[in-house]
Amino acid sequence: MPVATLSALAHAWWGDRLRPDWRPHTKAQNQAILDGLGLIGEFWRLP
Amino acid sequence: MDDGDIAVRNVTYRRFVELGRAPTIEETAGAAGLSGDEVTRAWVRLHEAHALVLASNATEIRMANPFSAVTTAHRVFAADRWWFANCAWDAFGICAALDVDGRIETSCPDCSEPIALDVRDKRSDDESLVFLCPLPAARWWDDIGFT
Repeated sequence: MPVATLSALAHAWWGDRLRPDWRPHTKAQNQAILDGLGLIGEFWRLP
Repeated sequence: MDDGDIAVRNVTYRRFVELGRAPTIEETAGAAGLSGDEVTRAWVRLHEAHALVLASNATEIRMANPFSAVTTAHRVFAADRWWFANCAWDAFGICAALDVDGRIETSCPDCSEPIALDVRDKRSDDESLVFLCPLPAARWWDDIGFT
């Protein structure tokens, strides 16, 4: 994937990791991040 | 993984950033007001839930994703210190988690050519680069060290 997509993915995926009120992402939340960046199809389908 | 485990996880991450390295069980226990055994049991549950990754001895942090507790080929300068990331995705993730700009130094997994880039306002200053994700999402946690 282009590095611009990678950076956007990383910021959406990891951006909340140090927040004091961090809660685990749900599978649906993470799938929505991938989908929103056009990372769709079976390769990007979370288990 | 219950609310108590998440609280231990959040203390572990906070101490990781404060120390610039993975906290020990004792350091985490002291910060969390728990016993070492309580932290150990919470870490195991967090590992099983993929909220962090323990070393094979199950008593040390291997990954507090996106941070790596061990030396890797992916270095990030952010928030006034160098960090190790688990992969290129995590290298950007360190800038994201710290909410700062940074510099990433890594290498091309294909030709081994060194790569250095700056992250400014959530973007790479070299947009010619591409990232290869080697495994489908369904297999990322089969062997997270390899992934």
